[in-house]
Amino acid sequence: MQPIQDFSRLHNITTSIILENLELDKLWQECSLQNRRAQEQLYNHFSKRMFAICVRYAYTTLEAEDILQNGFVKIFTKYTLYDGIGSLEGWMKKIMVNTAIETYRKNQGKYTESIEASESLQMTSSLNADQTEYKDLLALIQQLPLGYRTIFNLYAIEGYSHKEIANLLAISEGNSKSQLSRARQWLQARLVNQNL
Amino acid sequence: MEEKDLDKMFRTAFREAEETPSNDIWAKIENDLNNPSTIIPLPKKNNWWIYSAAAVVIVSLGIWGLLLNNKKNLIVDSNLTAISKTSIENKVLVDSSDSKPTLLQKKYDRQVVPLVKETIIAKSNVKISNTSASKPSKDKPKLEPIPDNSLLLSSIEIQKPNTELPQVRQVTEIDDIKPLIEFEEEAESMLASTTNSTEKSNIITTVLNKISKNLEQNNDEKVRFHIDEEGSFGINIINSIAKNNNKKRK
Repeated sequence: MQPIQDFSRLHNITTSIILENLELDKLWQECSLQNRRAQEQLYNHFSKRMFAICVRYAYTTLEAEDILQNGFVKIFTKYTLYDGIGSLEGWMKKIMVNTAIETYRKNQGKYTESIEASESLQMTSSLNADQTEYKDLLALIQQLPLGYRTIFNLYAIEGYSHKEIANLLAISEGNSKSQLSRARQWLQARLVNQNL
Repeated sequence: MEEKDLDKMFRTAFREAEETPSNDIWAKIENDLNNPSTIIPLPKKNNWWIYSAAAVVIVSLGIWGLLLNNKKNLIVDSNLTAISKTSIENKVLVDSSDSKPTLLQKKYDRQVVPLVKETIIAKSNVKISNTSASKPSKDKPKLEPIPDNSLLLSSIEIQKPNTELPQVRQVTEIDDIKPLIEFEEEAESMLASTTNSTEKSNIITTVLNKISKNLEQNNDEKVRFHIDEEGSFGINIINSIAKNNNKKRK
């Protein structure tokens, strides 16, 4: 009886995705019209996923929350930039990443490597058995030194090319490549230590 | 671990990741939305209205300009026909009035032809187009047979309802009878500067042409003004720089 159950489960999932898309379209339309309630709904629906992106880039909780706040304000004011091509969530994530980089550029002067590396973010995320690996990896990312972290995030997780990263951060492609390889080496070393 | 595997491990871990922000973030967002200060919103999608309005204005200006130009041409045409009409009428009155339509028409024709010729030379190739639907007579000069043909034409024309404008036929400049062989020494013009008899005109060019005609001495020089399709003015100066080889031999 396994296959039938799986099929019905799959069917349910797909229908719920379709429903979500329709509802999402309507919701997004309302947001474009600057309907505050719709915008709040959208925020509530996506905030956790978006915040997860922010914590990967930010050095403090405050900074992460700033990125989240500014990112959403951008999403709601620059709604015309979303042209319907690709998923809304994908577009929103892009905005969030761009906001994170903006903040990083602004605050570059304030960071000193040693201090920031030791201060770890106190996350209030719900602990889940499945999430232990996630938590450890997140902690590792947050300890990555300045610069390596952004590039590793952009390349390995967001999936940007070196060319795109070079444009975004105003560095050369070669610079991007070398920083990435150094980030990987750093992570590898830590992973081996922790036996992950 | 290989590089790609390393990347992939992190990527899958973070794919559906969720983190909980503090509760007051939405309030801050709303506040920023309600009181935009440093954030500059993009212009709304109503932009296209402005551009389309601008386009409409420009196009309508262009059309207006064209109409104005056309109006001038029409006025000229009607002026010319009015002039020729009045002069024809004068001629008709001078002659003894004959009530028979055919005869009148005959006189009319005889007068029309030379009159038209005069006007043509004076106004330098202005076309007076026939407003009624009768066929235009392309008259190459055979002055004698004209009355016969024209009588036929005119009798047909009489049957037709009277239009306000006189029955003026399309005319072109009537050249002198040319010899079959054109001697080189007596060549009237350079090959490249043949007269263009299909030149348009409007009020301005007509006036200018009149002035130049009046200023002409011994019919040596001719300066003709015309207007082209786009409304630009053109001047034809004949016999100014390029001399012809017309040497009258004694």
